[in-house]
Amino acid sequence: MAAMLETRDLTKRYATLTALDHLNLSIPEGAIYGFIGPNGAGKTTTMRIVTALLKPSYGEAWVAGHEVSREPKVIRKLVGWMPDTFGVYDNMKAWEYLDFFAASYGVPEVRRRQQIGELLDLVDLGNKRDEYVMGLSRGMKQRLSLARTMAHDPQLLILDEPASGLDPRARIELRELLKELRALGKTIMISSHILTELAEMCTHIGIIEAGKLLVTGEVNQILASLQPHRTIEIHVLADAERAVELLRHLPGVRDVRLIAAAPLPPTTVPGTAHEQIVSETQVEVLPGIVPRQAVLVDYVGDDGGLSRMLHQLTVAGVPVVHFAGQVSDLEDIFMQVTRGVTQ
Amino acid sequence: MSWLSNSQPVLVKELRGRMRGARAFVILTIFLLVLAVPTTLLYIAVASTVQFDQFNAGQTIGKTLFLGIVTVALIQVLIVVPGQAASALTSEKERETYDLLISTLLPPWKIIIGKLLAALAYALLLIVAVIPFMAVSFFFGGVTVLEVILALVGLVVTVVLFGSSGILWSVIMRRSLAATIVTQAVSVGLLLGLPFLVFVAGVLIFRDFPPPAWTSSAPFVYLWITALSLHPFIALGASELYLQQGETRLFFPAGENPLVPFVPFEAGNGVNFLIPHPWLLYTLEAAVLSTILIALSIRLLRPINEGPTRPRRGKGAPKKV
Ligand SMILES: Nc1ncnc2c1ncn2[C@@H]1O[C@H](COP(=O)(O)OP(=O)(O)OP(=O)(O)O)[C@@H](O)[C@H]1O
Ligand SMILES: [Mg+2]
Repeated sequence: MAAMLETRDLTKRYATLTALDHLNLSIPEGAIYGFIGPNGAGKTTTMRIVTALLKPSYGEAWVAGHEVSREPKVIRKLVGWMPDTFGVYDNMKAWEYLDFFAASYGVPEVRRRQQIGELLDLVDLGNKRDEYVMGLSRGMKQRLSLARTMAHDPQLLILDEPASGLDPRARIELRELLKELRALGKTIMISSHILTELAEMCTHIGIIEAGKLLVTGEVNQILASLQPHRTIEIHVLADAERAVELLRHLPGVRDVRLIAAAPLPPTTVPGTAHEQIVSETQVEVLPGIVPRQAVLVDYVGDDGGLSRMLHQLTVAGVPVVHFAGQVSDLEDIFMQVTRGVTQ
Repeated sequence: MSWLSNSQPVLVKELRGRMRGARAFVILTIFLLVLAVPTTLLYIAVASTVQFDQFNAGQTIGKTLFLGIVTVALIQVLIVVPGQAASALTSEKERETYDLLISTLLPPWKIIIGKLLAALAYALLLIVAVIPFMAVSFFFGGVTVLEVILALVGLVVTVVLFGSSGILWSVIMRRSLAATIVTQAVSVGLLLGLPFLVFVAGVLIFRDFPPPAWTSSAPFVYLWITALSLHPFIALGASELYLQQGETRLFFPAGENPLVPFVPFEAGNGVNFLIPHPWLLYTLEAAVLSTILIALSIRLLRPINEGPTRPRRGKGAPKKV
C-alpha cells in the first residue's frame, strides 16, 4: 500500500516549547488512522501542519507524494480538514454552509446543487437542510462539519477530535459514518485522547505524547506486541478476600487486585470503561441491591485455564456474578506506553 | 447569480447573511429616514427665506437640498462603512472560521475583494437609494447633471477608501472591537486631523503679508492641494465651489479661478500653471490609497501562519492526563 500521508522528522517549536519532536508517521491509503495522545501532545499541531495551515520548524510532510509546504494548493485539494472547533456563521442555513465551502473549493454550482443533498443525507441531516446552522445541536454541527470536509471530495480526511462532546449514541453513529467513508475509498486520520473511542474502528493507530510518537502501526500488531497478558474482571457478591487468596495460587496468574466497589455489569452500556463510571455511582444510591466487589486478575494462559479458574471459584463457594476479559485493553496499552516515557 | 456564486463565494455568502429577511429593508429605511429629516428641515428653512425672491427660489431650494442630501449621505456612509469593513475578517477569527476560510482554494485576493464588496453593500445600497432624492433637487433646478455625477462618484470613491482601510485593520487585528476602534480612529484622524494640520501649517506659512514668494510656486501649490484633496469634504466642497464659478474643465489654470484657501495664493499674481479639479485629484488619491490598502490586505492575509495566531482560549493551560 502506498502511503497517503507521511512525515519525516516533523518538528515544531514554539518560543520555548517543542510541540512536535521529530515525528515520523506513515498512513497507508485506505486506512483509518487513530492519532491518540493526551492534551497538549501535539495532535492538533501535526494536523495543522499537514493541512498547510502551519509551517513546521523542521522536517517534511507528504500527502499522496506532494510535499506540504511546497505545494499547499495541491494539499488543500487532497485534504479535507475538520478542526477541533466548529465555526458557526450566524444567519446561515445548513445547505448554504455547505454551498459556500464547496464553492470556495471551486465546485461549480450545477454540481453543488446535487452534492449538497447527497452530503446532507450521508451525515443524516437531510431534514435540516433549511435550518440555521446556529440552531443545530452540537452533534448535528459536528456532522455538518464532517460533511463540509468532504465538500470538495478530498482523498484524505483529517478529523481533529470529531467525537468530543458527543453522546454515546452519536459516537456510534460517527463510527458508522467513518466506516462508510472508508468504504468510499477515503483515508482517514482521526485524533482523540480517548483510546477506546477509536479502538474499534481504526485499522492503524499512533500514540503521541509530548510531541513524540511512541508507537505506530496496525492495531492488531500493536495489541499483540504490547499485550502479553489479559486482564480478567471478576465480580463477586461476597468473599472477595478469599477469592483473591485462591486466585493468587492458580497457574498463569501474575497479579490480583481487589477493587472495593464494583460497577454494574458492563452489559448495560456498550463500549468503554468511561461510560461505566455512570453506572458505578448508581450502585450506591439504589436501595436493595447488594454491592458487588471486583477483582482484577492479570492472566497469562489459554482459555482452558480461564475456565478452570472459574470452576475453582464456584467450587470454593465464591458467589461469582461476573467473569469476563476486560474490554478496555487499549486503554491499558495507552497507559503502559505513555507511562514508559514520562517516567 | 450562478456566475457570481461560482466566482465570488465570499460575497454571496456575506450578502446572504446581511440581506436576509427584513434586515436590509429596516436598515435602508433608517438610512433614508435619517436622510429625510435634515433634508425636510433644510427645505422648510430655505423655502421660508427665499419667498421674496420668487425668480430664483426653485434654484436656491434645489441647490440647498442637493448639498444637504450629499453631505448627510456622506456622513452616513462614513459612519457605516468602516464598522462593517473592520469586522469583515475579525468576525471570522472570532467565530473560528478563519482557518477554514483561508484553507480553502480561494486565493487571498478573492477573499479580500469579496469581503470589501460585502462591507460596502449597505453603503452602495444607500447611494443608489439617494439618487431619487437627488433627482428631486435636480428638478427644482440649480443643480447640473455634472454635479449629480460628481456627487455619486465622490460617494463611491469615499466608500471604497474607508472600506479598504477597515479591511486592512480587520486583517491585522484579531478582535472586531479592536479593529473597529482603530479604523474609526484612522477615519477621524483623517477627517479632523488633516484640516487641523493644514490649518496650523497655513497659520505658520502665511503669517506675514505678503506671503513668501515660494508659496506661489508649483511644487508648493501641488503639495498643498494634494494634502487638502485627501479630505472628502474639502475636495468635494472645493469642487462644488469651482463648479459654481463655471469651472468644469478637468485641468485649469490655478490663477483663473482663485479659491482661497484651497489654492493659497492671491489671484492674478502671474501664476498660471494647470491644477486638476479637486474632485479629480481626490478620486486619483483615493484610488491609489485604496489600491495600496487592498494590496496590503491581500499580502497580509496569510494562507500559512507561522506563529501563534490562534488565541488558545477555552482550554486554558494544557494539562496532562
Ligand atoms: N500558537 C501556539 N503558541 C504556543 N504554543 C502552542 C501554540 N499552539 C500549540 N501550542 C503548544 O503546543 C503543544 C501541542 O499543542 P496541540 O494543540 O497540538 O495539542 P493537542 O494534542 O491537540 O492537545 P488537545 O488534546 O488539548 O487538543 C501544547 O503544549 C501547546 O501549548
Ligand atoms: Mg487538539
